[in-house]
Amino acid sequence: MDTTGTFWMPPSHSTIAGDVDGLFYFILYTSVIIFALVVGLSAYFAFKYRRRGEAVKTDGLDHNVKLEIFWTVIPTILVMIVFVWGFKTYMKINVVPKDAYEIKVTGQKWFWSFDYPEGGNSINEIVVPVDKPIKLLMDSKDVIHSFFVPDFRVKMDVLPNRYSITWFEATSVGEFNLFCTEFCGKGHS
Amino acid sequence: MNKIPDTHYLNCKKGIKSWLTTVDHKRIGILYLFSIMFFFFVGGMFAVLLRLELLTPNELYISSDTYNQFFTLHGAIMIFLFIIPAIPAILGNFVLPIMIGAKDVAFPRLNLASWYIYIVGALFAVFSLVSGGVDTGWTFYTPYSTTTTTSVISITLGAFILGFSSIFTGLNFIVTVHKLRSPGMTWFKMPLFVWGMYATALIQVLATPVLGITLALLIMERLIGIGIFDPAMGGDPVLFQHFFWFYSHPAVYIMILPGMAIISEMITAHSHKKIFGYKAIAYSSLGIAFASFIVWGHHMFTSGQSELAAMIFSFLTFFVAIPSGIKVFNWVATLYKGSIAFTTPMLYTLAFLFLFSIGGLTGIFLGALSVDIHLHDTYFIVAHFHYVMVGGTVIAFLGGLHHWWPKMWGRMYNETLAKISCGLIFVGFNMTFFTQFIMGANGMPRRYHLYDEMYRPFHAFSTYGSMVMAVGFFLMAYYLIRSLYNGKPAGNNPWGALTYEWAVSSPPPEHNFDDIPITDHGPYDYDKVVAKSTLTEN
Repeated sequence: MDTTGTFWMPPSHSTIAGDVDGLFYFILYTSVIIFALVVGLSAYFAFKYRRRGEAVKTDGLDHNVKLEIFWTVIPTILVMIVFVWGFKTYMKINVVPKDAYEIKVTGQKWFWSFDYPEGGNSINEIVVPVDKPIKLLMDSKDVIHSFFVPDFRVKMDVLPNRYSITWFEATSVGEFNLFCTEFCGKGHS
Repeated sequence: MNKIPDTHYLNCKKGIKSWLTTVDHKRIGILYLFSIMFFFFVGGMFAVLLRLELLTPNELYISSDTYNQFFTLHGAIMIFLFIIPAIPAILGNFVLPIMIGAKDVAFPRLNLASWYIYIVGALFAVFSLVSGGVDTGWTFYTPYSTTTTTSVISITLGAFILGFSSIFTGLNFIVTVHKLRSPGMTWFKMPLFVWGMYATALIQVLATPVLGITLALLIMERLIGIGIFDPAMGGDPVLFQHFFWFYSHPAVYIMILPGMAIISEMITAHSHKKIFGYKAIAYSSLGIAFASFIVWGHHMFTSGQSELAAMIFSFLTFFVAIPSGIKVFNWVATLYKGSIAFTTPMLYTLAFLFLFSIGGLTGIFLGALSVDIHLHDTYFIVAHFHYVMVGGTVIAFLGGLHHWWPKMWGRMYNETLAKISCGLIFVGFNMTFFTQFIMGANGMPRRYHLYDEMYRPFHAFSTYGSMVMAVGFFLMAYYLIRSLYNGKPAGNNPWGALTYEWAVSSPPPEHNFDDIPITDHGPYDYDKVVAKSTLTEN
């Protein structure tokens, strides 16, 4: 588990963060290879076949079935890997463990309030035990907000007149940023 | 020596009235050029002001309310008044009829009407700008948009009206392509630009009414409180998101397909090389147009939609990626064994391949469900869609503008300045937006006026990039306007290209052709025909 963060990703402090980052880097490295091929070949062709002097007839090459099948099938396989991988982790993010500790979250312009099962509450700061799944039962008093903790890789919209649910399990002790990510007006932060 | 012909479409009739009542597709293209570029300038100024404010984490010179209005107006103006109409209404209007050997579009008066409707829609948008602004974001999400006190009604009414302008253009192109192709020009002998415009037109006609209905419901919600979207009246705010993206996702392809269409023309004309995979490119345009209708839910992975819906939308999303990828591979293969000239349009084409590849590949991150949960509504998204919309569509549009500029006006711009400007825009763009991928992945949410100190270096670098870009754009405005007065005459065919528009004079005569043109070679038969560039005669 990477608790210091990398160039691309913030530190990871939840049980699912490792899975999310793994897929992120898989896509990143695959993309870098494809990008290097596209741009490298374009630059190479542009240089090698640059125009020298008068206009001439050029090669009539306009298709190559084997090559076209290759560049259709390989990306299809790659995106299917990404799809299945992404979906599996997504289900982990969405299925709340049975023994989760339930906190009621209310979003409004412009603060969060948290109600704990023992009866306490807090404003703009959620205090949770480490190594225990936390279930968030969320609701909004006015417009749509969104609950986002980058270090936990967790995000869920908070809607008026409807409950939305998400969960996370922190793996280390510390203070982490909580952001609202659905635009809600002047105090959106 | 090349000479400008004595009479052409620009001087055959004189006076303001002849322009305001014109039914000539070329003149309507020019009317659109000036009006759309005006709004591109306005939207661009908002962008520069926003980036300037974001130089520091705290308030620099505008309040949060003003900031929220600025990003809303930047988005709404750029989307509805610039990027949706830009390519079809300016370049499509100007070259599509000539490319297929027609004297005009099928419904010239409807074409002029679409411009007037555009102006009326634009006036509504301007009204909301001067009457206190709008602060909802260009997406107008409910219930924020139904409860804010700003002028939401006039801007949504503006977008509603602009929709009709878009539908009229689309309808016109569909009928024109079906009915007015010259003898011998079968579907698979059409230039790929026409294929791209045709696929775009299908989306414009089929998807835009949904936006109209959605915005009409939003307006009624605000005016008479019908309670479709407002949860306080038992409505469903997420329903608005479904309706909105049912149009706005296909609309992404209304924006990018025309850009792709231009690339196919430029990459062949400036490499004198037959296009690789003609049918694959033509069919992939239709494939993208179709698939664009069934992926809207990928904008809503965190909205609380069911896991099953999210899974299906994620799966389908990856099938839009495949035809886009195929197009890019075909363009790269087209360069192989070509005769590549480093003209300004070719530089834009290479810039497109670079930037659009990044835009497309970062879309894969967002299509993957678990990764999207983390990246949704952060600067990663902002960077992704700017790479697709600016790096893709706008770069292609600017390339196309430089490609057909000598045809429009009969004169060449200063190529050295054009290449410098292209370079500044390319470098400035990457500085501005690549940094946004990094800070987005690190958790910086979008639409924040004040932000955490840790993101400061990224924001500052991004702002410097936007200044470089702005310089590039001002330079472009300078040499393009200057070329109208003292640019060198370009001759009929400055690029030595084979499509029809290069066979007529520059600027073209009023009715395009004296005789019906007959196709004796394909649009990309550079292996059979050599067309000499008329620029060398200068």
